[in-house]
Formats: sequence, structure tokens, C-alpha cells
Amino acid sequence: MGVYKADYKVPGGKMVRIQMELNGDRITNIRITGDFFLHPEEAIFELERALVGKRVREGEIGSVVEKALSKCQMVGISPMDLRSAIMKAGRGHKNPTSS
Amino acid sequence: MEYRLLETGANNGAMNMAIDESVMIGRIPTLRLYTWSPPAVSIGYFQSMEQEVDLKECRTRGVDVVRRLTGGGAVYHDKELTYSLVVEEGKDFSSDILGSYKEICGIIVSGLRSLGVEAEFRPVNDIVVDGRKISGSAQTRREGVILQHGTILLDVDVETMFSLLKVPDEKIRDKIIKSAREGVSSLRELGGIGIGRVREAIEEAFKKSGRRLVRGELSKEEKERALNLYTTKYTRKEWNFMR
Repeated sequence: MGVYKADYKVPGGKMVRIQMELNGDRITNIRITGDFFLHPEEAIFELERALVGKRVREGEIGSVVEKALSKCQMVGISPMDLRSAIMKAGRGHKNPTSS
Repeated sequence: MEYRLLETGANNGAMNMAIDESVMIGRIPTLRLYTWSPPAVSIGYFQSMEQEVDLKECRTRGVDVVRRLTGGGAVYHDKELTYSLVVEEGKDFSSDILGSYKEICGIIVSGLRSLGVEAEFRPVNDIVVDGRKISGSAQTRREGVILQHGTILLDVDVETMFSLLKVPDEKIRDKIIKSAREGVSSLRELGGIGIGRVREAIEEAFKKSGRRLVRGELSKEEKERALNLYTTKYTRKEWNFMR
């Protein structure tokens, strides 16, 4: 178990900040913060819930983000940026299985 | 299309945000102009209060903190005129978010230009003069209603602003302050245009854009709802410290 953090600067200037807890390579808790725009805003809670239990692997994270935000509009960031931010935080993980 | 003009004067951060939400729920097309007293830091919907704001410094300086209903970044509201626009989606402005930012900010740009300020819209949601930001806006959409609010900087105090805001990397604090000082302008720098003239210019620009503007007040229902949102949401840690 451990807490992993990353600040990910999106090309264009927005900031996505990840704070997550992992058990092995699975997310047990995650908080996504930053100065981006996501409509409707409450979708962030759904995304965070959907990420719990998932492994920090690009494909797995990418598809969860895409699915959770499929009906949302984003300004200043894309689902890919969120995935990159989560992967960056996950790189602090001792036993990386993300590649 | 007809809009109500609301001039609600100065309120604290929580009340300003409560009024914006109450007007949005009420769905009456409205242009609201307002100011902040005491000064306040507002943070975007997705930001973490503790990560972004030096709360101790805010307390020391008597600065309020509040979370906005809209996304975007942390803003220090002091010497500025703030606008908010409420209108049903697709009724008068583009349904598309980026398009509606451009159209609504376009009115503010026209108003500033009428004052001799060479303002330009900088996508997604900024207004700049000579490439330096003088106005920033944020938008949310709920139940088919657009709320866009934004600042028009009358004066800016970058040192105070950064004493209240945390920076992602303390090692480069000086660099961040320097780039903010270079990247932000204000009407004081551009000739000292006072709030009264800015307010008039925005109202005139709104009318010139082909919209009617009729001075009005908050309805009894809107006032009650704002007061309720003030006590149950915008002054509560459950909202302000939600993330």
C-alpha cells in the first residue's frame, strides 16, 4: 500500500493533479484535481469511482477514462491527458506493470 | 432577446457564488455585475482548497475563500468588476461551449474597446491586451442553462495574489510570479479606467450586441434561494473543502 502523487501539465497550460493509493498495482483510492473544465462536473466522481480496483496499466486506465467520460465535454484537457497523469503518478510504484 | 440587468454591488465570496447559482436555477436571462468585499480567493470546481490556497495567509489578511460552481483555476478577487451571464442553452448563444465563450467574451471585448483598450479574445476563455490577460471567464451548464462568470481586472497586485495562492513547485516560485506579472494586465495600467466607466461600457456593449437590457432586482424567491445556498453550501466546508 502506498500513496502516489503526480502533477501533470497538459500541453496548453492546464494542470491535472493525481493523488492515489495502490494495493499492488491496483488503485484503491484516487483523487483527481486541477484547473480544467469538465461538463457535467459531477462526472469526476463517477470517473474516480470507476478507477478504483483497476490496475495502473495504460490500456486499462485509458479505457476506463474513455468510458466514464464518453458523454462529457472537456475543455483544456482530454481523456488521454487524464490517462497520462494517472500513469505518471503510477510510475512511482515499486513494481511497475504499466508498460 | 431581453435580459435583466442586476447590479448587486459588493458581497463576500460565498454570497457572490450563492447569488450566481440562485440566478442560474431561476433561469431568468440575466447579466449581473458585481464586486467582492472582503477580497476573496475562488477556486475551480475540481481544485483542492488545501493544495491551491494558503489558508493561514488568507485568514491573516482577512481574505475569504470559496469554491466555484465552475471549473478553471484559482482566482484572487480584489480590484475587479465581475460579470455573470445566465441564459438558457441554445437560446441566444452558441450551444457549443467554445463558441459561446467566444460570443460572450466578445461582448466584454467590445465594451473594453469602447474605452480605448485594445482588447482581444484569446481562446478558450481569456481576454488579453497586447497578449497580457485582463479578463478570465469560466462556464458551467446545468439543466439546460448556461452560467458564465468572469473577471475584468481593474488593478492587480501579483505579490498579494501569490502570498495567498500556493504554487505547484516552491523552487520556481519567483519564476512563476515573474511570469504572472508579465502575463497579467489591468485597466489601471492601461490608463486608470474606473469601475463606473467599465460597468457602463459593458452594459452599452451588451445593448449594441442587439440585446435588450432592463434593470431589475433579485426576486424574493431568488433571494431566499441565494440565502439558503449561502448557509447550506458556499459557507460550508463540505463544499469548499470537497476536494
